Amino acid sequence: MFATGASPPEFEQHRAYLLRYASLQLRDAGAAEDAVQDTLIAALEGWDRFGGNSSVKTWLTGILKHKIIDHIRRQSREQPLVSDDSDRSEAEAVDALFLEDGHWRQPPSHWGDPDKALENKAFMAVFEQCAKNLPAKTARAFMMREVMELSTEDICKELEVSTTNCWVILHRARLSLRACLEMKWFGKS
Amino acid sequence: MPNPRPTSRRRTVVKKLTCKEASEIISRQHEQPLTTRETFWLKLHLFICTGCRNFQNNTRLIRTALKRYLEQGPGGGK
Repeated sequence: MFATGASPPEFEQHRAYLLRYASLQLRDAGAAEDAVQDTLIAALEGWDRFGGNSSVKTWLTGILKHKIIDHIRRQSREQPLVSDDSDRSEAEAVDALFLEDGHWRQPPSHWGDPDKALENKAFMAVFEQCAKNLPAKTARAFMMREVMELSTEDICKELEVSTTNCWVILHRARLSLRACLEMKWFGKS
Repeated sequence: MPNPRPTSRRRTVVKKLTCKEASEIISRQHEQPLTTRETFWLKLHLFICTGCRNFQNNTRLIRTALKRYLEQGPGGGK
C-alpha cells in the first residue's frame, strides 16, 4: 500500500491529535496507539476514496471514531466494566457535594477569565490529571459525549444504560471534574 | 364553596429548584435543549443563586478546556 506513493504527509501532523483523542477515550496508551495505527492503515488503504469533501483531519477522526467504538465493544464483551467500589464511592462523593436540603455544601466559585486559565500550560496539565482521575465508567460516558460528540441516545445504547442513568453519569462527571479543578487549580490561585 | 382544584394544581406546579436539581438541569443542557418549563425554573433559580451560575460557567469552561486540550495537548499553553 505504501508503494502507490499515497502516504500523504498530512497524516503525520495529525498523529498527536489522534493519539490524544484515543487516549482520552480509551485511557490506555497501548490501546490508543493501536487504534491510531489501525486508523492510519485504513486511511492509507482508503486514500483513493478520500474525496476531499472534508479536511484530512476530520476524515481521519471519523475513521478513528469507528476504531475506538470497535475497541470498546470488544472490551465490553471480554471484560465488561462492572459497577465497582469506585462507582459507589463516586456516587457518595457527589452526594457529599450537597447538603440534605439540596444546597451546595460549598458553592462553586467564580473562575475568573477563562482565557487566562486556558492559555496556561500548568492549568492544562492539571486538567489532564483531573480528567484521568474520573472513574472508568464515568469517563467513558463523558468522553463519548465531549470528545466523540455522540448523542446521549447513542451513548446509552453503547453503555446499555437508560437515558436517565446516562444523564446521571454525565452530571456526576461534570461535578467531579469541576470539584477537582476547583481543588487543584482555581481554589489555589 | 371554592373549587379546591386550582390550589392543588398550583402547588404541584410551583416547585422551586434546589441547587442539586438545578445542577442536574445545567448539566443536561449540554446534552439537549430544555423544555420551556425547565428553562423558566432554571432561569428563576440562576437569578438568585450565584453558586449555580458559577457552576454553569464552570461546566462551559470544562467543555472549552477539553477541546483546547485535544487540539494542543497539555503543552499547548504558554
